[in-house]
Amino acid sequence: MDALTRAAVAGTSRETPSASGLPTDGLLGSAKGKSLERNLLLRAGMRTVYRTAGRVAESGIEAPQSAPDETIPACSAKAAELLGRLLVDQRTTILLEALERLRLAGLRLPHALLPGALNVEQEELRPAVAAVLGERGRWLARLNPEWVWAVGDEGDLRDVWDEGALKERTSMLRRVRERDPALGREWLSETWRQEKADARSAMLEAFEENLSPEDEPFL
Amino acid sequence: MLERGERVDDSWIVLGQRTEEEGHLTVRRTWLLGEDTRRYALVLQFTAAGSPFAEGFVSGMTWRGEIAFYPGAYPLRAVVRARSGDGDRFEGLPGHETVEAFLDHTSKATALLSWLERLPAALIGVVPLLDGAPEGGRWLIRDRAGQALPLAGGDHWTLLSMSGGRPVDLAAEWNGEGLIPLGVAAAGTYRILAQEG
Repeated sequence: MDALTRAAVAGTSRETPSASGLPTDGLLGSAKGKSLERNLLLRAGMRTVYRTAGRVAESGIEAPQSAPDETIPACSAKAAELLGRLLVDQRTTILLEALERLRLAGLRLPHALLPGALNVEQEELRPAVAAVLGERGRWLARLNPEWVWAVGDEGDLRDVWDEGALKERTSMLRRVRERDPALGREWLSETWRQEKADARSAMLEAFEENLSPEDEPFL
Repeated sequence: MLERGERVDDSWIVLGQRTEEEGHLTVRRTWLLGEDTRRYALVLQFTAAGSPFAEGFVSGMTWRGEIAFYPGAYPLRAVVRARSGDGDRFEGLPGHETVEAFLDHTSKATALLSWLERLPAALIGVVPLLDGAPEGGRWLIRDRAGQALPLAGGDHWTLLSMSGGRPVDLAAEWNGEGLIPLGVAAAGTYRILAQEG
């Protein structure tokens, strides 16, 4: 809690806020009425405006890697509208057919529909979705561990494991353990020596998935 | 009051809308941007819950017309005096080229009127990105000069998908902390971004 908030909570009779150190302090002198309460409220107001008006941009954020160019065209705007509605309603049977037709026509989903398509709940729709994602969809799916099924050959999973942030890596490990516990154990034992302590404990948690006696030597 | 207000004739781009329930009232904010004057304007509409708004605006469209600003230290709220047609799709947002230019604009507006809760923002050529994993990561936009501002209001997968890591034009509301997207212009199409999350 900073000095100003402390004074506001405790009451001005108990605690007088010290100067904030902001350039706005000088303005107080010109204010009429010198009660402590008024002084405190003026300070709070000045600080808020000072912060809002003096907002600066962040730097040091790296540009993301852009998606490769598409190699096939998107479906028409009309088809996109229809597909958008089907995705919202999650009409499995019709969606399956629509996605299949899209694939047969050599078309892909438009970019705006990709998050909705990647979020389909029914597992049976996933292969049909994966077939019409286009380059953009595969690019997008790599950014969200929940969508790894869409790009999930072993090489892709391995990429996330090798290069991802800690959260991505642990979620990836959990997924691999679900599917193939031995492969997960192999991955973790390969990198174990280089992992930091906090990474290790997060990974062991993910390792719980499908725990078996076969894991004993490693553990 | 409006008799004294400044009148501006321009091609007005409808950047986007936000509708909120306030008790028994439905409040709709429609944000406009003048193609030639580069002036932002806010049309506030109120209805009793359920009944339709008297005047409709279509996001991503532009129409020629005259609006009158309410007088004020930083005139933003306006009413439409005359407009012709429902308009055409606009070509390119006449927005801020850099994050710095936008912040400069908000500083000036705040200096004139410190009670502004939100300001519109049209930003040209910014790249939306997710810094970190979806869980616990931060959503940002980054301009060509590498300056970044946070996005607010949930997740932004549609915006990310539309951009594909390339620059897009973004219309948003700025609440002093982050940008809440209204719409995005990418590859020649304007898409309304519903408030997600």
